[in-house]
Formats: sequence, C-alpha cells, structure tokens
Amino acid sequence: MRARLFSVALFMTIAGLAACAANGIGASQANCPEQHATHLTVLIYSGRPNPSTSIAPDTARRLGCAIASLKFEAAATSPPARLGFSGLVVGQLKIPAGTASPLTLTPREMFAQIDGVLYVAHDPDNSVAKLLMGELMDGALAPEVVLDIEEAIR
Amino acid sequence: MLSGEERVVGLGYRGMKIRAVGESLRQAARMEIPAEFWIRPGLTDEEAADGWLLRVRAQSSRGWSEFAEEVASAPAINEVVRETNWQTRWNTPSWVRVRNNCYNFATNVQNNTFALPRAGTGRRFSAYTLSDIEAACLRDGCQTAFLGRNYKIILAVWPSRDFHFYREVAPSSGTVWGRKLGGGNATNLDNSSNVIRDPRLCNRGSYTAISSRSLYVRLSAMLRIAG
Repeated sequence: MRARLFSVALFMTIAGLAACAANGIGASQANCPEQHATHLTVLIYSGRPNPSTSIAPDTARRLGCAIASLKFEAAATSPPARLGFSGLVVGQLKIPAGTASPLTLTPREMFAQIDGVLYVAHDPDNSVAKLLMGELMDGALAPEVVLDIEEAIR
Repeated sequence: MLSGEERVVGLGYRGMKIRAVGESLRQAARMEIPAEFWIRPGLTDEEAADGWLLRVRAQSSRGWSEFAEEVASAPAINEVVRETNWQTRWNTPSWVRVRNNCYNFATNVQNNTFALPRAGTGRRFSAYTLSDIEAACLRDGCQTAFLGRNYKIILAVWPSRDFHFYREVAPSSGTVWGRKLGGGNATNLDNSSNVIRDPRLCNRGSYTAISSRSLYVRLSAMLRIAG
C-alpha cells in the first residue's frame, strides 16, 4: 500500500513538472506555493453580469506554478478596456512577487495588483490563460463564452 | 448658489428674487437657508419653484396675474444635459465602479444595482434584441422624445448576448459620448481608443446592432432601475 501511494505521488510530481515544462514555464516546485480556492470572472459583458466560476486549490496551485518564472514589472498602463472579451480575472493568487489580488489575464499579458501597485508580465503564447481554460470543468462557463475566450487566446 | 457667470442676462423675465423679512429671517437662519436668493427658469428641471410661486401668489393678488401670463408664455427650457465630472463620479471609489453598469451610467442612476432594463415594472426583456430592450427601457421611464432637461442615450446590442448604452457627456469640443464597461471604467473611448463622436460610427466590437433613435432620460426622473 505504501509503495503504491509513493508511486502515485511520484507520478503526480512528474506529471506536474512535465506540465510546467510543456508550457515553457520551467518553474520549480519551490516556486509553487499552496493556494486557496479562488474564483474566476470573465470580462466580457457590459450590461449583464460577467460570467464567473470557482477555481479549486489544485488548479490555483498549477496556475501559480505556471506564473512563477514570469517576470513582472511595474505596469505603465492598466488592462485594456474594450467591449467584448477583454480578459480573465482570478480573484486572488499567491505568486513569488506577493499576493496578486486580483490577477488579470489579457491576451498576451497579465496584470497583477500587489499591495495597491499594478505589475505586468508578458505571456506572448497565452500559455497561462490556456492552462487555466484547460483546467476548468466542462460546463463551468457557457459554451459561447468559452468559444470567445478560446478565439481570443488562440 | 450661482456664480455671477451662471446668471441669465437679458431683457424680459429673468427669474425671481426671494427675500426673507420679519419672522422669516429667523426661520431661514434656523433652516440654514440664505436670507435672499434668486430663482430663474431652467434652474430646476420642472416648472417647479417659480411657476408654483406665481400660481400661489396670483390667487391672492390681481396684479400678479398679468405677470404670471408673461412668465407662462416664456419658451420652455428643453435641452440635453451633459454631465461634466462623469469620469470621477463613476470610476471612483472602486466599489461604485464595480456595482454600476452601462445602464446605471446611461440613466445616471448610481444606485449600485448593476441594473437591467426592466425593474420599473418587473417585466424583464425576453431577448437581447434592440426592440425588446428598448421596450424595457421605455417601461422604466425612458422616452423617445424630450421635453425639459434630459440625458440623451443610445442603445447597442450584441445580438443574443448582451446590451450596452452610450450617453452624451460634456465635451471639451464638439459632441462626445461616454460609456461604462460593465463594472469597469466609464470612458469616452471606443474599442479602437478613439474618442466617441458618434456611437453609430464608433468601434463597438461585437455590439453590432445599434438603435437608429436616441432615448431620453428626464433629469428629474429618478428611474426605478435595478438588477
């Protein structure tokens, strides 16, 4: 039994590292802090409320892992405001630079508000947004919303 | 109180000066009302103060009747009102920004409800179409023509998905329209970051349908909108 548990744990560790490597992030486990459950809001509508769903701690941890090696710098501009899909907002996430509250993933960039200061990191392949979308359960967001997001981060 | 620049000048009726005398002086002081002030037409949206004063006064004095007729024949004040400090008022503090959407902004009802065009009567629109949402706006109290002082708004729709509103705001030059992106900032820029001079011609992204007519929200009408 103990050997079997060890095998499962080893497999999960390797799988996690492989996932990070596949995303081109290459973060170490030391840079992947434990995370609490948080929530995701899709910035897409103007009149009706934006769709939202919850993010499980495991997903949040993999998200933090994927972000860990990205370089954040002080943002010169705010996330772009536009009609239609403009980004994914993660309620709260621990990243190496601090606790991002919130973290906004826009096509090719992500903005982190840390202690009232806005930082930005570049993600030209939208790898973090793709990882997040891949982790969501089926039905967590309406199909038409998912299509709009996928088109924007393709 | 009005500054000198805001006062109406010209011949003919320009308003009324109200001055407290006797016991009224003490009452005015207790109520923190100036002992002397001036009412002019158009200062409030409704006929309101000066018309009311005239009707009451005319009942007890024949001399006022002729004066009342002159005032009554003065042209009505009809105008589109353009808010000046709208970005500050709608973007800060952050809890105001996130709890009010484009419909709150357009109707200028900052009641933190993320309002949908329906709550005036409870009959919600059934589809994200121009006709359905415009009908709901009319049930809320918006109008297709204006009398008095009004905000001018235009409805746009992302077919089957969402609605969006623009409102004419105070420009630095020419005509400028503002909008609020859901719980985001109020801005006068379109999706191409150009100043919105005409909502029908600006970049609206997926909100491809736009009403051919404007709607008007009476300045004095606090619409009963809600989410």
